[in-house]
Amino acid sequence: MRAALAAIVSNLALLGASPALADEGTPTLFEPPELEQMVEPVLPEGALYPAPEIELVVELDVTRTGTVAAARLISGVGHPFDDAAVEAGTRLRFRPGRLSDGTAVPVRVTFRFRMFEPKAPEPPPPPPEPLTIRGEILEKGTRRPVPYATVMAREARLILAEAVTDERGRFELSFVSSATVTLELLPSGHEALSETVRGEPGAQLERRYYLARTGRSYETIVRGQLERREVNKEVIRADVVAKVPGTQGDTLKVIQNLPGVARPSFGGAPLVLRGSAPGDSRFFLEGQEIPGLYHFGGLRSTFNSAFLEAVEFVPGNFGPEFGRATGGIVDVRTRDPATDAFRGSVDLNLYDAGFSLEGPVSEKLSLGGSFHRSWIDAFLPAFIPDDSNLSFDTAPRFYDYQILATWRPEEKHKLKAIYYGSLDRLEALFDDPADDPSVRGTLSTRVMFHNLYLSSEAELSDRLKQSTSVQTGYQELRFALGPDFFFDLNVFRVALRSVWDFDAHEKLSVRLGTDTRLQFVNIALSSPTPPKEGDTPVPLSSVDILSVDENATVTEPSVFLSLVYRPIEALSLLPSVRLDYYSAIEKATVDPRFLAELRIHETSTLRAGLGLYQQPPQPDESAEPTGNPDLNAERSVQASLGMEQKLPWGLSLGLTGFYKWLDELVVRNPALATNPSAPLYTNEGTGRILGLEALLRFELDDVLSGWVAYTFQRSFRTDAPGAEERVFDFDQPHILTALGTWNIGAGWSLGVRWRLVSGNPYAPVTGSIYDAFTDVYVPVFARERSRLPSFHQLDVRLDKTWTFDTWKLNLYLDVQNAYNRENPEGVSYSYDYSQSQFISGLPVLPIFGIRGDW
Amino acid sequence: MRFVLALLVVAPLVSCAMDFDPPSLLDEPRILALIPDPIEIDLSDPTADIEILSVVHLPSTATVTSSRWSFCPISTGARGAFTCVLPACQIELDEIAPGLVRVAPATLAAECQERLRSSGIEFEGEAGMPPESFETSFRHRVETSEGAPAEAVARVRAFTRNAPSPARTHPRISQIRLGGMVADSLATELRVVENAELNIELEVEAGTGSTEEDLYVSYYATAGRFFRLRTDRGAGTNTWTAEELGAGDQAAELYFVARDGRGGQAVAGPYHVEILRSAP
Repeated sequence: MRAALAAIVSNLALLGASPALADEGTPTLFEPPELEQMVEPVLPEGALYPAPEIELVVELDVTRTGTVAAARLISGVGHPFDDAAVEAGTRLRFRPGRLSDGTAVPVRVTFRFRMFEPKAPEPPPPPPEPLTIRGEILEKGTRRPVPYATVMAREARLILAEAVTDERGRFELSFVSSATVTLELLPSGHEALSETVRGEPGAQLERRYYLARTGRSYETIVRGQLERREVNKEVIRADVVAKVPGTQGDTLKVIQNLPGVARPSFGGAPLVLRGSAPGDSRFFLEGQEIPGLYHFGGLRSTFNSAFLEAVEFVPGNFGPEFGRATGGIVDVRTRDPATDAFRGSVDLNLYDAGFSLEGPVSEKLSLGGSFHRSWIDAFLPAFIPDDSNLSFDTAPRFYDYQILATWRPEEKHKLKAIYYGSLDRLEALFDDPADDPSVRGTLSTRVMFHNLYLSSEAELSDRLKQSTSVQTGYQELRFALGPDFFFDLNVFRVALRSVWDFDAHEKLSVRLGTDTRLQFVNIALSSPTPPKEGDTPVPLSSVDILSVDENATVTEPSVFLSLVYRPIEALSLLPSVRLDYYSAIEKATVDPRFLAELRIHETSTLRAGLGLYQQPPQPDESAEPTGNPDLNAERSVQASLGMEQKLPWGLSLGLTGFYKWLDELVVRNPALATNPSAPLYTNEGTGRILGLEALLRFELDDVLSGWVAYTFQRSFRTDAPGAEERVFDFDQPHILTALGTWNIGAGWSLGVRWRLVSGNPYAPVTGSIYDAFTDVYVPVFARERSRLPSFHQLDVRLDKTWTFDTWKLNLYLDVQNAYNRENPEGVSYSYDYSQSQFISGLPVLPIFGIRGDW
Repeated sequence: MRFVLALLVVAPLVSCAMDFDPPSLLDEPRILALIPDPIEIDLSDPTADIEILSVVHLPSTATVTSSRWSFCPISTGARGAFTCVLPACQIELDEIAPGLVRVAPATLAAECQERLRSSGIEFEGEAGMPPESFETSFRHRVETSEGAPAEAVARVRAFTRNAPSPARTHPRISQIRLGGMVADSLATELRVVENAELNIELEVEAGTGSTEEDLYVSYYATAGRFFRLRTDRGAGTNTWTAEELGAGDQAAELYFVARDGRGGQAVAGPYHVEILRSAP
């Protein structure tokens, strides 16, 4: 420890030679010693000063050379200061004292050390306190988090701090700065934001930002690249189709615009995929069959788009996971209810009104629900002419509902429950029997189903996944016409689907599963035999009536196995097999299927498929006494070859050619004419279907998107051995659909859809014969089929969306048949078939809608 | 599927664009009824005959140029436009009086079955027995000096056993009131001003083997329009209006045909109604 000091030299006296000098009489001290080198007393660490300032006096003997020969304490303050002062005194250096003649002489001097207690060091000044800004970035209108957005605090050009938002859109910045900084938000796909933030040092600010989304890069139709087990599969993202004209935002209605789908008459409900009859294709929800995809007239799907994640559309050559179908499949995938916030929507249009609500209940559980109801019944009676003999007791109405729950007990385990249902109802009263006296009284229909779906998906290890679902439900179909005709079908169904996916090797994956269902069926009817594809219509009064009331239990177990083998990276081979058993006909079927995929370039992929597909006869075809329990399953061999090619400028092209051989088709038994005891149906029908599908998709700078789909297909049937081949009822050789949406900006968008489709075949009437017993004319049909004129129609949709911070409001005008084309959809005849005219489809129909999402 | 069918049934009815003449308008030769006697054939009596009477409306200036009948013991039904199961089984018939044929069906049915058998076609019901019943067809085709030919079929059910007993009988139109007066086709003359209405009241009695619920009445007229094309359940109340008349329509003839839908028929008419046209 060194003390601050001051030294004072005083009381000088000559030492040693001074007497001699005195004797000579001349020696006087002319020049006193002068301190040349100061030495501080060395004090031990922590020495306690008795006072802030102390003074010690020592006597020093300064030699002729200026060193100190001895030091003695004269006045001290105690230990350790005294010793330190003496010791320091011995180390002082002086310029020697001199006599007046210049001779250096020893001198005794008194020296004072003045020492000051060292002050404690000043603590460093505290650093300026940082300003902390925490916040979250949400998408404007949807309140969805915006992850991976860069957030920076800037002062002029100096970046003070920078962060990236997490999955929840949250960020935190902490920095030292003056009171005003610029906060910049730079998210991808959303509008950037720059804001001046004022905050005193040490302040903690909480911010929430709503940023409008820009671009629509993820609003595209994508083809699944992984786990492809089909030659041609279109995966439609639910958010793709919100603004496709003619769909009113209904995801499932967009299917009708894809290649391979025939246009239904009157915009109706049946889906005709690749020339197969409507009943030959199946619709699934998460792999479990749905009784019907659309409400009556195809106006609206039976499952609300609010909870759809995607729709997988496979018009043919589908994998072994699906069976009991010789046509194609549509599998609807639901999304989980929102886990980040409570959300909802309300929509209202000419057809119906509905709402949805969803949100998290806990960290692991989320719930959602939606409901739609038509209100056509409110205004349709106003369009019935006063002189019509038809009035409505219950005008056409429908509703559907969905309740969903998702629970994630663990990260890799998800449980899901869906309770959903649908009802269509119509009651019309015929005041006056029409041309056919059987068409009288009340016509009523009721189509309804209620299903409970439960599923579990678990990732048991890195190489093993397991999913199981169970669906149970009730389906009712009632049709009655007057007092004489009715058809009631009641089905209680339990279905189990379980799939195990195992990556046995890096080049080999195995999928093993079961798809089993049990049905308790009641059929009661009093009607002519149900109509079949290819039938020519005859008056109800002129055909025999069947009366049946039967119960049946139908068990249909199935197992399937498929492999994915990748001998080289670019090639995948997918052999598979499916085994089914149908208790109604007591027969088992084996369906081998094969698919190969070759990636010939980064942008080019080839796919080929060949497989056998079988389905049981319809219940009324196989159940006694109306049906024939000895029937076989209907069969089709499907072959297809397809390619996908990515093109520049946001274009991509898909081409698929296909051929289907059909046999064992259930047809009316011609022997019935001569043998009343012969079975109503046989398996003697055959058919062939061929075609080419093309899909050109485009997406240009997030401004213009859409696709052009073209299908050439021909579909033929032969109803009995040796019979003449005829065209299929929905044979439409050319189907062209072009649609696009132009994102104009400022919330405006314009969508157009134009369709050009060959007319459906029909059997022209060449004459008639009067059935005198029932007062109806029975038509006589030509052998050759004619074809209705081509259909073409333009639909236009204009949208305006206002995006507020926490919700969005969308108004739209969807104009169907914009140029009011009178498209023939059928032929109407006079009572005796001597006159005819085409029945036109809907005229120009503007549909106004409003929708709010929050 | 049934729902689609329902809509297809409804759609044409809802439409107001279809502008065809109503079936009640008799503007061409028309076979109004083919009345069998008996209504059903009992094949257990091989000697039994059946007669078919054709009730034909002809325009006043038309004459019959050809009247041809045929009988098919085994018909293909409506889906086959009532063609004969074997062309060789179809027998041409001669009228025994204008519009009347008589045939012994048992013999012809047996011959047809034999032809079927020789063609390798089975014709049998349960357990190798003949079917209990099957449908025969009588066709009548009338060609006239005016208009298109008229052709009708009578679908007469033939029983090999268990024929209805007692045999079913035709319904009967027991009373007709036109404009409030009891009508008689020979004695009553009616006059109606153009665009005026004529009330029609019918009382119909069901024949043996039928019920009132089975009955319905069809209305026909050579001019004007009926409010209803048909009425059902026995008692019929309808209105005929002297409207939508042709230039030369000075009168109308009205017919009423009651049916039970299974062969039982009764015809009333024609009732002559003079129309007092308003000045042009």
